[in-house]
Amino acid sequence: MAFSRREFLALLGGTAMAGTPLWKAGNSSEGKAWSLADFTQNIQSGGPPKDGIPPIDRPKYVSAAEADKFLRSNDIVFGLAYQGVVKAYPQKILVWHEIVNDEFKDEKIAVTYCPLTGSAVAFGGRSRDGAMLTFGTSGKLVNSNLLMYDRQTDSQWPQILGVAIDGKYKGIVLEEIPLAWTHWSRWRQRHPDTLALSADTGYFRSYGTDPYGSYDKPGTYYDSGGPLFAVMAKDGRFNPKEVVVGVKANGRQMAIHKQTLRAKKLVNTSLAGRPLVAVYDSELDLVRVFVRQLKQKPTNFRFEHGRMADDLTGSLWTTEGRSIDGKMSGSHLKQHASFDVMWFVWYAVFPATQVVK
Amino acid sequence: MRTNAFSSTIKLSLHQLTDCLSDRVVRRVGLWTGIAFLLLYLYSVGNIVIAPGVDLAFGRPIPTASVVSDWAAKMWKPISPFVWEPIVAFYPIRSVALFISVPNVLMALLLGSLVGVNTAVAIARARLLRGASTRGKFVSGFLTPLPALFTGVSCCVPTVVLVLGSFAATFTVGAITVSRFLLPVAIVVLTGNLFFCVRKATCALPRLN
Repeated sequence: MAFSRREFLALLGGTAMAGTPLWKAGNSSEGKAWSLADFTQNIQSGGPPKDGIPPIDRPKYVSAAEADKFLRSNDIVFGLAYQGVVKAYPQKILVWHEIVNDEFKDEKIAVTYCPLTGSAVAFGGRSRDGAMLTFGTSGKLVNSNLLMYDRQTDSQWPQILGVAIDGKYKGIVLEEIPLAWTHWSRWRQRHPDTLALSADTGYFRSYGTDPYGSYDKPGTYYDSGGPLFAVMAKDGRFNPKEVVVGVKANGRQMAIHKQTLRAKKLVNTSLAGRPLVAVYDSELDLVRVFVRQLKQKPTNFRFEHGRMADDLTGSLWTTEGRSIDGKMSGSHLKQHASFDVMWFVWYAVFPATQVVK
Repeated sequence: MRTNAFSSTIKLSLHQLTDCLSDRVVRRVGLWTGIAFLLLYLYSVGNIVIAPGVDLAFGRPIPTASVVSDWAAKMWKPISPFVWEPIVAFYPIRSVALFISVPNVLMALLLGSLVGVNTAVAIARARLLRGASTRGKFVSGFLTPLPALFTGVSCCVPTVVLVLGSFAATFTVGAITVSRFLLPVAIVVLTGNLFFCVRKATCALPRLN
């Protein structure tokens, strides 16, 4: 988990107030940060009415063996290992629903996916006042990105921003929980005990078809052209649909070019004073971000033979952040939430973002 | 006075319409055109799905049919302007799915009927007059239903925009804005075109030797 709940509450008091910039630019030479009012002024209709794209409110799950009947090895799934439970959410189901209001033990988790911006984000569903939130699709978009609403207060939350832009919870930041964007065969191999979201969703949709295109075939919406809806800012450093790993900390943001990290394997960086390391997991084809701090001291990591090694103790670590050899053996790095997202929308939402190429 | 005039206009129109539909060939063409449009409309709103190579039944044995849970609550739930939630699914083969939504079927029947009758009248009049001057009216019988086919919306974007591709991005907002008016416009235009055609001229066909 990226932050404790207490850390999030501390964040709220500092930066997430209505009418003031949510995040200050990390670099003065880059763009300005938007206010909440800027986002509300740029809401657009996506076509469907509220919950016209129906969230899954009573998700059912099947075993991995059962899921093999309808999932192909290269199908994209969003994997979540949380509180000892492992689940996979197939993209081919979520493309028709965009939100799963799920429960892990006693905690509500919203697994969200916006096909227009290629972003899958899991949010903790607890609000500042302790209420458990569930989310619906508003039928609207901001920067071509899913605009959720909570069913308890009708506050509106752009998915990538993760902050309510109006309503009772205006300015509140949702807690992000790391979600793995990977392929079914890779996830199943890593987590043989995984459950998979069933197609018995309570709705009939043509699961298996994708109205936007295909992640298997080049030349569709997912890798070609620009956004379908207007965005608040544009930038030409990358192709609009290029995948970056989005990271947020203390009101600042960073985009890590995923293709570059596939080649480099590991990058030591920092964001808003927080020392971070981004590492590529080739087995799952995903990037994880950890706080690169051991015994309260920042340290650099290097990549050696598929493992990470820290400079402070020389211990070896898996790309999942678990130490397997050396002085730190058995300990875990603190994972920092991050998610894959198309470059055009990350920049549109966070024009002051840092960029790691 | 005004009621009488309206009543006689309707009677005259119905009489003319009966004349137009008196020909068996014209009726058949109208019927099949109406059925074809009904199927095309249900396809455009995603209630008929044909996806070669895709297992739409998601591993379930086929053929299979099922009714959604809470069907009574979902039956009138809109998923986009003038498109409602399906409550029954039928998978005759793996790559074909038929979703049944009661309001969608009613809408398809209404539109199919209007398209069929418009087509029949256009053909009847074309056969009657066979003149260059009638070409415009003949074509209008086929063009007026087109707006209804643009109603289908997949997730956030009208299907037509996705079909056209990303280069259509410029028109997306416009397409979203007008999409909610397309179906009512189609119904009004089809009805108006029908009345205009049957009122303007008789469809009593000359005897063909």
